[in-house]
Amino acid sequence: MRRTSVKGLSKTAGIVIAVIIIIIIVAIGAYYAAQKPAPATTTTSPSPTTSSPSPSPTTTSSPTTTSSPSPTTSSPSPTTTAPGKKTLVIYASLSEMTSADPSTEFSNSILWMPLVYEPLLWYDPLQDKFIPGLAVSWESSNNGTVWTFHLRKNAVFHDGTPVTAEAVKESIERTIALGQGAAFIWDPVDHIEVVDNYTIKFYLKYPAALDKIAASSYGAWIFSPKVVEYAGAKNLTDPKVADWFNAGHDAGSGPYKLVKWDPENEVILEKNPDWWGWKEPNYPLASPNAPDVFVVKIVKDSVTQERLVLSGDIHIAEYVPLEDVDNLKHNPKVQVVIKPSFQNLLMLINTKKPPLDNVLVRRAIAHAIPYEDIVKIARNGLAQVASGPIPHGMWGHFDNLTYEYNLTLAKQLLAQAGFPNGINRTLLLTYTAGDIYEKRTAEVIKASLAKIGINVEIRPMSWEEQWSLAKSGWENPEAAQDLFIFYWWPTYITPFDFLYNMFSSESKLFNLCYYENPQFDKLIEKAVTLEATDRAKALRLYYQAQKILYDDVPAIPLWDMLDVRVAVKSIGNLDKAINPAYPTVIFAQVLEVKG
Amino acid sequence: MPVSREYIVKRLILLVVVVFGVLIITFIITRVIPAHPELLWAGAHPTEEQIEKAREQLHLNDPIYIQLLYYLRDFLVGDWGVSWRTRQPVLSDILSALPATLELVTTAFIIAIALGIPLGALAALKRNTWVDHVIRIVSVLGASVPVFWLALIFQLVFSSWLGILPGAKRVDEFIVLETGFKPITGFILLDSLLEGNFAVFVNALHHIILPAIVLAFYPFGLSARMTRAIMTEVLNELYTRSALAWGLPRRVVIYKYALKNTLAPVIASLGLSFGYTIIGAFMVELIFVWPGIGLYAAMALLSYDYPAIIGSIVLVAIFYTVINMIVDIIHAIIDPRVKL
Repeated sequence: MRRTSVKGLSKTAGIVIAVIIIIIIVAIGAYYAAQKPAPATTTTSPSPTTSSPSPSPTTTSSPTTTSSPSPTTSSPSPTTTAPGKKTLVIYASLSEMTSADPSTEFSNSILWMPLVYEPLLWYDPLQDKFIPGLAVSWESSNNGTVWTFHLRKNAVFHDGTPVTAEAVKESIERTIALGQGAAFIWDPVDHIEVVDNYTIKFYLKYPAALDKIAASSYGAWIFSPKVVEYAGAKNLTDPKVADWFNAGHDAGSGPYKLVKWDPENEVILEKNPDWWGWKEPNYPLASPNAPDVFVVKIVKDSVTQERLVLSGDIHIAEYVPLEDVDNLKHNPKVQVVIKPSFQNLLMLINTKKPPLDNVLVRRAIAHAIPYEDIVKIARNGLAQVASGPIPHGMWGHFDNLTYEYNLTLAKQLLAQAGFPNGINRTLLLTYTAGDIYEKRTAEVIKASLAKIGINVEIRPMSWEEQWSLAKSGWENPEAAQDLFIFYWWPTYITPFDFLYNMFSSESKLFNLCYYENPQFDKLIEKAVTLEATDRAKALRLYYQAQKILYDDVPAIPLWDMLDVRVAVKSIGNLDKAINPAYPTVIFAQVLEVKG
Repeated sequence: MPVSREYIVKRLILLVVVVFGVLIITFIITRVIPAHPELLWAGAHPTEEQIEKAREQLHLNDPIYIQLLYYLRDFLVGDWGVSWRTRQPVLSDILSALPATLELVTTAFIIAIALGIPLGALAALKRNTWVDHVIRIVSVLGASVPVFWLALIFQLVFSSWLGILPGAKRVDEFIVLETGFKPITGFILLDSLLEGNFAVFVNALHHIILPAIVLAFYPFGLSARMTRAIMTEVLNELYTRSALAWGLPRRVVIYKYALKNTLAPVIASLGLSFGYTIIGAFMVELIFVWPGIGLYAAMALLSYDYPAIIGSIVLVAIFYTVINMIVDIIHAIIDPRVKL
């Protein structure tokens, strides 16, 4: 009995082991099968669509193939082709894409829209100059209340319709009519007049820098008015048009077409060979070796992004852990590009709640913050100590508005204000939960203010809660927070965006210092109207306004963020493809893809 | 067929009750806690009018039961609301994320069952030998090591160091573009086979190996341990001994009687852990950039995206109920004493 059982057991065991071995063999077999044919398929390029050769002056060294599985438009034009493979650039984005409607989009989709759509003008803020987009020239008259734009004649939408003044008018009018997202940038516009096919005139209610507005990163895209037809809608403001866009269709005129729209995972853009910019000699926003395909891949974790760019699975990482940037700079596999961004972090002070209603107390706090240390600790040095609320590199920024870190001075000021032994109340500082940079900044501020006898409680809150509490401060400043840490970034590039939103007495949503100063309000209102006509004078007024803020300390600007992008070495021109006026965008059309 | 139609109908009614119960409870919870959805909906730098418009669009000015009625009305016609975070319809988001997760979890379960049950049985048969010890160590580790740690280690070793398997994504974009692959059902492995697109199939198989193995560890450990425990018990039952005593071949006794009796409870527990793994997979999905439902639900939770949260919870509720039903049916098929 015993003997037979052992025999039986080993027999079963044999079968079980055999099954396992078979599974392992199958797995290994599958793995090797997977290894071999994979690279072969990438080189053979069995392009599914037939494509006919056609001359393309710009793409001489790198011929393009357009297989166009586009759901959007079946491009009737011939596409350039040659045996060879398409060049591909994968850009990892930390956040998923949002909507695809060029009129209302005011969030993450900014990342690809400038590749598919074009505005009238582009703005290069670091050199303070415009780059022509759909408009080749423009002028303002009547003290900046009438603006005329002359459109280029060779621009064509992806559906083949030419870009005309009528299309521009209808695009902007739809954006205004829907009134969502960044539509408010067009507030100054009274009405728009089509002069002829390629000339358009804007009549404004009050003087404004319409060139900067037309170059906005949100709400200034021009699209084909035929979307009404495609969507089967009654008119442009019909919700069906928005649905059509959000189903993954594009109606732009830009260098890339939207071919795959999977906003949670990936967005794929394919080169538009008919774009006018490829043919324009010396156009700064075009490169002969721009990638044929540009993929936006959603990778929601910075550690993973770093690993993927090192392994070459993605080509450009939007975010890597800042702690690793120094190491990556020395890694031969990748390049690190650091550019200023116009996003800054500020601490708004509740100017209506004692003892912070006393300007001396606010000044004491301003001098008790170790700005350099915060930049080192919170951002690993990847930020600039702020000088005024306007970020570095932007027109309207001045370099002499940083508060000196001086604890003796801070203590003196506090004593003068009547608090020689510090403040006997604990101040509440709120920041957005989950933001590690805000958290570290808040911790340094807490530690530092303790040195002059000010106790701070730091409280992380969801942005919605934090903001809601702060907004209630206009009605009841006693119940609101004392200190409020938050980011600001401009919708379009003007100092007014920062100064008005955070400090004007009219701005009840974002002036969360509850600061009211009629003199300041007057200065910035005057400056913004002068921006179009007398920039030197506007600049002087903006300086005076910032000087007032410096003395009154309704808020303490902490740091201006530096953007860090890490890319594989084979991608050239990355530096030129990043423009702080268009945050998170990689202008793929200027990239040089080598090899 | 040991399953009556009456039983299926009863379970389906139960499904509806459960789903609506879950729906109403989560809806009320999400509306009662203060979260200011209108601010999330209105975007980053809205104007006062846009915020007011958002309140109206989301029916936030109405009492909560009216809001619930609006939601239920839309829910029934397949409009699960729009994600406050991504502005995409929740139902289509979930449906597009679901196949990726199901593909991953199913593959992981196939691996887990194919290895776990035979090895568990082997351990029971070779009780207290070195074979048993080795299997025990592996399966206990599998069931207890945190999955995110395992995922990172596997990625580091097999992808970064050895470079033999891809450590992220479902399929390479390049192959999809080159071959003009268009998904039909969303299950890439299945679709590529249906289309005869071998390049994509191989590439996708290549990509699923690491995440599926990592995800398989827990159900593998579970099934191996359960199989061993129950099999040991069954082998000690009087009927097994009498069968052997009657001179039935050992093979027949083990496979026909012992293993079959072991399988029923093992499958029941595995079935339940399948539902759990759907959401539990989010760590693996995050690390391997796998575009699935776990990641979607996790992101929705982190950003107070209530329509997406409710959608995900309802989906999981449906899954649990359906899988429970399937497990019961399988149980009835395996065990003739069970009548449903």
